[in-house]
Amino acid sequence: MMKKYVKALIFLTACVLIICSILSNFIYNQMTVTVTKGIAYTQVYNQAVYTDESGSYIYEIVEKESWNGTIYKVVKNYIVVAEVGEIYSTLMGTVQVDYAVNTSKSLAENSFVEITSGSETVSDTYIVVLSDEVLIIEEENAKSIFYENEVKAKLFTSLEQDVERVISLNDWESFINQIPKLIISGVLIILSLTFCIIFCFKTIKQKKNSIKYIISSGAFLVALFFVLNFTDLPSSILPSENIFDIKHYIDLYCTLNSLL
Amino acid sequence: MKLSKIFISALFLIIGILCLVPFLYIGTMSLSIDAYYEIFLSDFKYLSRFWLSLFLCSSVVFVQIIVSCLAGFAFAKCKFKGKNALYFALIIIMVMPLQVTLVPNYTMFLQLGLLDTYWSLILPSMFLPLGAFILTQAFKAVPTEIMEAAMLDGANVFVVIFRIFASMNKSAVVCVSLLIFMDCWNMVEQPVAYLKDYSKYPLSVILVYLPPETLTAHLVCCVLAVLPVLYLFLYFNKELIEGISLGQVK
Repeated sequence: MMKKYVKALIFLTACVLIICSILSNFIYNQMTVTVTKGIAYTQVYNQAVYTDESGSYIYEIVEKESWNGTIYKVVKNYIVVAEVGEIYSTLMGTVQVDYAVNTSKSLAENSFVEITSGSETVSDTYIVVLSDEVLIIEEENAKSIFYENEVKAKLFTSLEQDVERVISLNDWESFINQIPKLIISGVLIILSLTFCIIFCFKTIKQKKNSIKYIISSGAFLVALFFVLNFTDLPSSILPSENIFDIKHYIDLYCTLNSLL
Repeated sequence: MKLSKIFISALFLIIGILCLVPFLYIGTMSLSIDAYYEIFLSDFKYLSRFWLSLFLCSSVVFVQIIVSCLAGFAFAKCKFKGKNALYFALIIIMVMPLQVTLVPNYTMFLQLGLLDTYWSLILPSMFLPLGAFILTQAFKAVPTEIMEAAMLDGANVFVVIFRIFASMNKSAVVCVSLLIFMDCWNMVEQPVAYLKDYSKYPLSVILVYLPPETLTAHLVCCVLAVLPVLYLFLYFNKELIEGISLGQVK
C-alpha cells in the first residue's frame, strides 16, 4: 500500500535532483569569472587594487582540487600601497602571490575564476556612467572578453575623473540573444516536472501505460541539458553572487533604458 | 505495577524523543533558501558527489549480490572439504572491525597500483561476508529436492541459484542489498585512507570535511545524504525486517 507512494516520491525526487544537477553545472560554468593573472611583487596594477573598511587588498588566486580537477578561487590579500602611479601601485614591502588583474565582473571572496591569457580584438560600444554625465564611447580595438575594471582604469586615465560604471553593449546584446534559450530551458523544466508529476499520480492510482510519461520527462531533461550546453551568458552582465538575483537584471535594464 | 509501567513508558518516550532530536535539528536548522541554493544549484560539487556515491554503492551492491548468492549456495547446499572451517572463518571476518583490514588493504592496493582509484573502494566492499552469511541461512531453508528437481529438468547451477534460490528468498536478497548499500553509503575511513585526491571523495566524506562556518549548508548536505537510504528503507522495510530475521541462526 505504502510502496506506490514511496515509488512516486522516489521518481519525483530523482527528477528534481537531475534538474538541479543540470542547472548547477550550468550555473557553475556561467558564474565562473574570467580573469587575467599577474604576479605581484613590488607593484600591482591599479585596477586590481580594491578597498574596504579594513584597507586595500588584491584578489589572490588560489589553486584547489575539486570534483572537476584543478579549480581556481580568489581570496582577499591585504596590501599596503606606498604610491599610486598612472598604471601601477607601488607596494610597501613585497608580496609574492598570483593575483587577478582584469576581471570580467566584480569579484567576491571565494569566487571561482577561470584564467585566460589573451583575447581577440573586436569593436564594441561602451556606456560609461560618470558622476554627472553618461558617455557613449566607440572602441574599435576592444577585447572580446569585456574586463570592466581594465576599461574603467583606462578611462580614468584618459577622462581624468572617476568612472562609476561601464557597460559593454556587445555583452548586453549577447545576453538579450540568449534569453530565448533561457525561456526554452524554463519551459523544458516545467514540462519535465509536469510529466513526472503525472507519472507519480498514475503510479499511485496504479494505472497502466504510465511509463510513457516518465520517458517523456527524461526526454525533456536530455533536451534541457543540450539547450543549456549551447547557452553562454556574458559574465559582465551576471550578478556576482546569485544568478537568480532578478533585482540585478531589472536595475541593469532600467539603467540602460534610461541612458539610451 | 501500573506506576512502574507508566514510568518505563515515559522513560522510553523520552529516549525516543532524544533519538529524534538530531533529525529535528537538521529539519529546522536547514530551512534556509541560501543554503539550499548553494548545495543544489550554485555549486555542482555536492550533487556530483551525490551521483558518484550512488554509482559506487550501486556497483558494489550489484557485484556483492552475485558473490553472496554464489557463496551462500555453496555453504548451504554443496558438500566439500573444510566447508565448516571456511564458514567459521567467514563469521570471524564478519565480526572483525574494519580498521583491522585498512592497513593490509592499503599495502595491497599500493602494490597493485590501485591506490587513489575507485577500485580501492569498490573491491573490498564487494566481498564483505555479511551477505554470504545471511544468504547461507536463507538458502539452507530451501528444500534440496527443489534443486534436484530443477537439475533433473535441465537447469544448470547458475539457473538454480539465481532463478530459483534467489527468487525464493527475495526478502533476504533485498535485505543484503540494503545493508550493503547503507554500509557503502556511509563509508568514511576507506576513502580517507585509500584516496589521496580530494576531488574523488564521495558525499559521506564531504559531510565530514565541510568547514564548520558553513553549518547550514552542512545540514542541507545531510538532507541530501539521508534521501537514498530513507527512500530505500521506506520502500523495502518489510523485506528488510524479514531478511534480518532470516539471518538468525536456526
